[in-house]
Amino acid sequence: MENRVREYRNSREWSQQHLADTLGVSRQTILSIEKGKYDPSLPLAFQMASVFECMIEDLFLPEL
Amino acid sequence: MAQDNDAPLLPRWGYTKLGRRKIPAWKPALALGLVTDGVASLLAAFLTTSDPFNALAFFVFLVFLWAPLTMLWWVALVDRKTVRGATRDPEKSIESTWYSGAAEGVFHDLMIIMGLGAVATTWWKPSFDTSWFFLGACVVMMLDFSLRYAILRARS
Repeated sequence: MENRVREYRNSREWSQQHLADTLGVSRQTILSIEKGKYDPSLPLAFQMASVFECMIEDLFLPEL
Repeated sequence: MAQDNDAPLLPRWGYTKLGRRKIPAWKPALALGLVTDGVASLLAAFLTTSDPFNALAFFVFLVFLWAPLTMLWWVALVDRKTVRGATRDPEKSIESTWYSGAAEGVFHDLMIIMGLGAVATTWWKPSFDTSWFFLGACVVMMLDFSLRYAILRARS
């Protein structure tokens, strides 16, 4: 699944570690999500949308 | 876990999850580890030979069981949220996915190996020490798990 996590994170000038700490996950998790190698669980996706103050569908784009 | 600058520094090995007082988890883990180590070593010394008491077995078990038993007690007692540097929600992290994937792979490997072993032993009746068999099975499973975990990690 494609996502705009890196874009949102960069717009806030957050490091991957900062975002990982905010979400309570490892930095490797953020790295893998941004590279599109890992689709987060639904609770984590909702948590990310909440952190970035956006809708979940703004952050994650389904591959049609 | 991320810590604010104003937040008190958490202990390296965390606090216990039992009781109201904040007790560093390594202290009861060390004590209980020593007690269970002593009991297990005494049992081993009495059970491993026909002699009344095998001092060598006692000391070997005492030395080699202490660390794993202490670690087991620590795992059972510690409140992981109080361990300095620990990830707050490891279940949501990718490492949890690698762990689950590797464990699933080992389970399937074990099913295949045991199934083939069951078929093979229909004709072939090996005579080996069962304790070596179980030890070997544990080592194979650990190696299999490590390899699968490393592969999943490399792919991510």
